Order: sequence, then structure tokens, then C-alpha cells
Amino acid sequence: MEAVEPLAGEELERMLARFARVRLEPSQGQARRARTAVMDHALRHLDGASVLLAPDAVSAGAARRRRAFGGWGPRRVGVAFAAASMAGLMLGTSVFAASRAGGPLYESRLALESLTLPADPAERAAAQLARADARLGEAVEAGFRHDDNAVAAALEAYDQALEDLSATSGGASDEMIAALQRHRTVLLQLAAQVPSTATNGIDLALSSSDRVIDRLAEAGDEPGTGDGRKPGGAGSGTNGGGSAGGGEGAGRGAGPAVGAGNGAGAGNGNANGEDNGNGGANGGGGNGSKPATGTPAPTEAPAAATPRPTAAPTEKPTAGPHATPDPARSPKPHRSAPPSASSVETPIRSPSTAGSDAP
Amino acid sequence: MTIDDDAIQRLVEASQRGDPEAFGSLFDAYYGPVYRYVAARVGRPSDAEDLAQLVFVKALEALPRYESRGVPFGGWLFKLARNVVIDHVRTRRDTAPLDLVVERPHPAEGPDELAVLRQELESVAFALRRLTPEQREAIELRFFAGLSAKEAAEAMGRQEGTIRGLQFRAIAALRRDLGIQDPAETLSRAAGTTR
Repeated sequence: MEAVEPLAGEELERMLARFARVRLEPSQGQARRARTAVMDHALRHLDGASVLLAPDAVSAGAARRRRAFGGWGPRRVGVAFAAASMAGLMLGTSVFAASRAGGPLYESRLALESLTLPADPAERAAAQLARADARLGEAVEAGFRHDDNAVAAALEAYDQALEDLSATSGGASDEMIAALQRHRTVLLQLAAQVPSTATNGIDLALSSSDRVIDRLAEAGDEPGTGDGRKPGGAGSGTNGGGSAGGGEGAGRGAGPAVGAGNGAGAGNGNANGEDNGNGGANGGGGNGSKPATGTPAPTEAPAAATPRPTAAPTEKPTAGPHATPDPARSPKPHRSAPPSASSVETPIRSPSTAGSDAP
Repeated sequence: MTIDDDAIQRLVEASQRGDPEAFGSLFDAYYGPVYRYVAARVGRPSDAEDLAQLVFVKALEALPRYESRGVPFGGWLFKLARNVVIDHVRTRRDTAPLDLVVERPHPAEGPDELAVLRQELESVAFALRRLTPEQREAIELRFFAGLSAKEAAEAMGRQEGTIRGLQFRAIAALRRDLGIQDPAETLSRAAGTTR
């Protein structure tokens, strides 16, 4: 006989359902976090030898193991070889998974990477920058996976990579500064995506990148550090910046033609002494040893000489709730061109390829 | 449950064979009910989140030992959930009452509706607190987690009939405390007046 179901009645059921919906329903964030953690556990559970096996499968396996290996034909040997290859592949996969950001082998992988860095300062700096790129990419990928631990681990490694980069002398400062400014944009975008628990790491990374940019900028300003390929760097003066510009031009125009650029306005010369002086509307001619570098740049409008007006719009809209007007985060207005929105693409894997397991 | 029992059984078997995606589907099907049950028991959302996650981790580890044999998977899973909650309550006594639990925002409702809703929720929380622990658990499993009587019986380690009895008395007590008339009583009264 069918048991009688005690009915709550429509009104009580509605009240209980509303109570459950308002007070007991998990948020999407909670569900996502829990799913990520549980699936991570499930994958690790599978990666380890303790694969989920039904009891009958376990007993069947044990029975098979009891038999001798006698009577194995070539076909069985082939199957065994295929199984061994699969096991090797699985092991490789699990090692790869373990060496991902936040994984147990992540630190070891980073240590191995740092051991294989080249000795030449310029190459080493480039490799350090590539490492920082890779770490940032890992942080972004972990962000797509909503794996807070991995985000934190990758950002910590990114911070360390920046420290190493800061300690390494050599390399093209302008390229590095541009790359680091791209990193900052990516970090600000990441800050808008990850939960608040991961933003500490992002703040640290932002301040580190800021520090490294400053250091690189200072290195670029030091006399004699450039190669003097186009001495002077002059000609990009702001209005009437004659006397002030003289000092800067002299500082950057390294090499034999250092005397160039006095009175030519504030140059944007860099550590290489390259002529990226833009504008130069009022700077007029520098009176250095190479007069051609002091002439106004004819292709650029005078307005281009103003210091980087485009920096703020590229970063602010992407920062989301973390975009406080913190000067430490704001882009460097006096250095090479900031990244445009389209330039923020390099270290990131797209969400579709990131293997996100979010529902 | 949004998926039927056969599908659940297939997912369970696939999970036992080591298919993580199948376990992910089980998670998707049961996370909400487990969370609601745990949240109703412990009150604090952060605890509920941790404990609901722990339930699935334990389920993953215990899954190879699960055999259907007439035991519904939901009942088995909620038995794990129940034990997790009991362990938690044993070690931490500072559980938040239901009415302190964070409410989800209702963007579509205005301040008047919100005030009415809040009053109703408080009344329900108060009425639930007045139930006996077993009655309350029966309501939590049946109405908040959406389990069948059989699954609830498995989870609570009681007979199905006992669960129905607990539910019957709990419903009567809730109606009384919330001032809701018994629909059957209303019907019979209406029939009496028309006779």
C-alpha cells in the first residue's frame, strides 16, 4: 500500500521555499569556489594511484594479479606495452598538473627555471622578463579557473621574478618598461576578476612593478648608460623648456656626443640614447655636435610632446572595484608609451583554452 | 533533483570508474540541496560553504564503497552530510541561529515587499526553531534539500514511516505557529457550509 504523503499545503510550501531561497541558497561564487576545490580534489584523487574503483573492480584486479605471466602472446604484450605507455602519459600529465601554479611541484619548476637563466646581463634580463610574463600568464589562467591558491602562488612568483629582474642590469629599459606597463594593465584587469582574497597579491605585484619601472627609469637616466647611438635625444622640448631640458638631454645622450641637447627642451631620450624625442615644437635646434638630432620632428604634432595623456583611460575602466586612485598603481606618465587596450594580450590564455571547469 | 534516479545511478557508476566529469555532474546536481541542508543546520554561510565542500570531498573518498542495493544515492550522500554537520557541531558550538543567516538580495522587490518578506522569514525561522530537532531535520531534508521520504529516512537512519510521522507533526506545528489553516480543514468546512 502506498504511504500517504503528509502535505504541507500550498501556502506553507511557498513560505518554506521562499525561506530556503532567500536564506539558504548558496551564492554563485560559493558554488563556483566549492566546485573548483572539489574537482581539484577529484583530479588529484585520480592523479594519485587511488583511482576511484568499485569494489568488484578492485577484487577482479587482485585476482588477475595472482595469475602467473605464463602464456602471454604478442598481443597481450602489445596491450601491456600500450597500458604502460598510457600509465607513463598519465604520470606525465599528473606531473604537469602538479607543476602548475599552486601545485606541489611549482616551486621546484621555478627553481629549475632560475638555474637555467643565461649569464649575459642583457640576455638574462630578457629571460627574466619572459619569466615575469609567464608568471603573469599563469596568474591570469588560474584566475580563469577561479583557483585562488594558484593565483596567489603565481603572483608571488611574479613578484619574485620582478625582484630578480630589478637586480639584473642590462637589456633595453624601454622595452622592459613597456612590458611592465602592459603587465600592470593585465594585473588591474585581473584584480577586477579575482575575489578579494587574491587582491593582496595583485597589490604587491603592482607595487613591485612600479618599483622596477622606477629603477629601470633611473637606470635610463644615469649618464653614460646608453650606447649613444643617436646622442642628445634632444628636440622634444616642452614649451620653453630650454634650460631644464639641457640637463636631461645631457644625461641621456650618452657616449661621445654628450654635449648635445642643451637648451633643446626636455628630451624623452632613454637608456639607449635613442631618439624618441617627439614633438620638439619649441625646442628648436639643439646645439650639440649633431645638429640634425636637435631639429623639430616634422611628422609629429606639437601636442604629442605632452607627457602621455593616454595612460589613464587605458587602465581605469578595466580596474573595476580595485581601481582606487592610488598613485602607486597609476601608469608612469614620463616613460615610454603605455599599452593601448589592444596591446594587452600577450601572456594570457583565453578563457576557452584555460580549461576552466566552472559550471 | 533535476535529474532522474537512473541518470544519478549512471553518474555514480561512472564516478566509481574514475570519471571526474561524472563526479562533477553529481556535484552540480547535489551541491545546492546539500548546501541548503547544511546552511539550515549550522546557520553561518561561511561554515556552510566549507562543510558542503567537505561533504563532497568525503563523498569522493567514500564513493568506491558505495553500493546501491536499494539505498538511494541522495540518502547516502545526506547521511555523509549529516555526519559532517554533527562533527562540526560537536567541535564548534557557536552556530548561528537561522534568523542571523545572510539573506540574498532581492533586486526586484521594493522596500515594502522587503519588509513583509523579512517579517515572514523571521516568522518561519521562529516556527522552525520551535520544532523538535528531529521534526526540524525532517523538514530540512524534505523541503530544503528536496529529498524523498526514503532518502530522508536513509539520511536520518530512521524508517520511512517515522519520517512521514515527523513531517506530519512538523507541518501541523508550523501551520499553527504561522497561522496557516489546514487546507483539508478548510475544504471540509467549506463542504459543511454548502451542505
